[in-house]
Amino acid sequence: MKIVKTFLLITLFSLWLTAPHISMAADGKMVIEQNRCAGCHEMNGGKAGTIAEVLSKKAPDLFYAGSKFQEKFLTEFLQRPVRIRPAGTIFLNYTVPGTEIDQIQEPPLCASRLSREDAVAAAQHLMTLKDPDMPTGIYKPGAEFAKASAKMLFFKSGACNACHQVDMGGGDIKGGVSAPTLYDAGDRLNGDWVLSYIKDPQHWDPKAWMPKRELPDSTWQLLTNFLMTMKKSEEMRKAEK
Amino acid sequence: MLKKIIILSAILSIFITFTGRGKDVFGETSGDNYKLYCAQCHGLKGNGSGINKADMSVAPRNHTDTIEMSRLKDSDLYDAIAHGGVSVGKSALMPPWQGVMTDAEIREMVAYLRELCHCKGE
Ligand code: HEC
Ligand code: HEC
Ligand code: HEC
Repeated sequence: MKIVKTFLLITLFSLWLTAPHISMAADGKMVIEQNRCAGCHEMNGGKAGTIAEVLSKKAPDLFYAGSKFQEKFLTEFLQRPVRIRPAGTIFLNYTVPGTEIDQIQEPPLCASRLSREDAVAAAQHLMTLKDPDMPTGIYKPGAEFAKASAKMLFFKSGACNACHQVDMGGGDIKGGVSAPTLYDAGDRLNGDWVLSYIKDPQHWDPKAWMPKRELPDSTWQLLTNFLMTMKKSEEMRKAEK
Repeated sequence: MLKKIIILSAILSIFITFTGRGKDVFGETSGDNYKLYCAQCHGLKGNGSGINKADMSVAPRNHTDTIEMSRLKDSDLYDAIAHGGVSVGKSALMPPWQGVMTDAEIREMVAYLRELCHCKGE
């Protein structure tokens, strides 16, 4: 009797062990665990609050990926990551002093090389990691806006291009390298998150080296509309292939 | 008794040093703040050669230039850092940091710039 019981228990246990692997081969959460994304990325919401913590970061935070990204971008990126931060996640870790200009030393790309199936599942899971407090539905895709004023804000009074690269036309990439590229912001990011981030970068990342400015909401919306029109040009897409 | 007090206070001071370091209680050092916020444009050594310089239409100030920096008053430095270049009649490429650094941190930053240039304001 005892033997039967033990046998049953063992079978049940082994079924329990193997079942998730069979039935949920493309469970996004599991794909992320198996590929050790958390070895580089913060997945659980520990924001770096001191410069020492910033310097120890290997990769960008992902615990609000569902608020920040577009799912289509994630699905592509996780199969074939491209460069987002020209000087790496934390530029100070990859920069050495230079006489004319400081030198950037080969920052690593994201290590994710998922299969299509796994990438779809992982992206789906990442899209569930949302900040419930972020206002949504504020950015209206395709809305008319004053493009000339937006450009003035971006290139002159806000000088956003001092730190961010943008496409000046036909794949002519210009701008600063200490922050994420913005030439594909409209392909990559969620409009409502962009609005929230540019208004208060330190809410998302207390030690972000981006200035925080007090400007009216309408100004932030104008900038967001402009940023969301930034898409990778044909020229850039070809060059990547 | 005395021994006990000495040991206890030693433990306490070690505790305070390690738990307080880098936290809000003591804030960040101005050297670390300079690296994080300023070096991207002004360079790791403060000589104006930050990684963002290449595509900028106005070169970031060389903070180690004794002659140039002694022309600026401490209040100019404070205003430039807190409210941006525009507030002192300079380029908007120099951003405002008031929303990111505390008033005390900006004052310490002014003192730090004076160390970098080995100079005083006019
Ligand atoms: C060896 C470290 C490492 C591992 C492992 C890794 N990544 Fe990354 N990842 C990075 C780095 C570094 C970047 C920043 C690249 C850049 O900005 O150019 C990055 C960027 C990203 C981004 C863009 C984030 C942003 O805010 O711009 C996403 C999304 C991402 N990784 C997802 C993943 C997923 C999912 C996995 C696991 C399948 C993974 N990564 C595994 C290092 C890693
Ligand atoms: C002094 C440098 C600097 C300036 C000037 C600056 N930024 Fe940033 N920006 C940053 C940094 C640093 C980050 C976040 C880095 C990270 O997450 O790795 C950032 C992040 C962003 C992001 C999110 C990008 C992403 O993929 O994570 C957007 C959008 C953005 N900035 C827009 C702007 C706009 C609009 C302006 C002008 C009003 C501006 N920035 C000015 C440094 C700067
Ligand atoms: C996005 C690039 C950028 C960043 C980041 C930046 N600066 Fe500047 N800074 C400049 C530029 C460009 C100038 C030169 C402006 C001019 O000459 O018109 C300048 C000028 C200055 C000046 C001289 C102002 C004057 O009256 O001539 C001071 C002081 C200064 N910066 C301090 C700082 C400090 C401190 C930080 C960090 C908290 C910082 N800057 C971060 C770009 C930057």
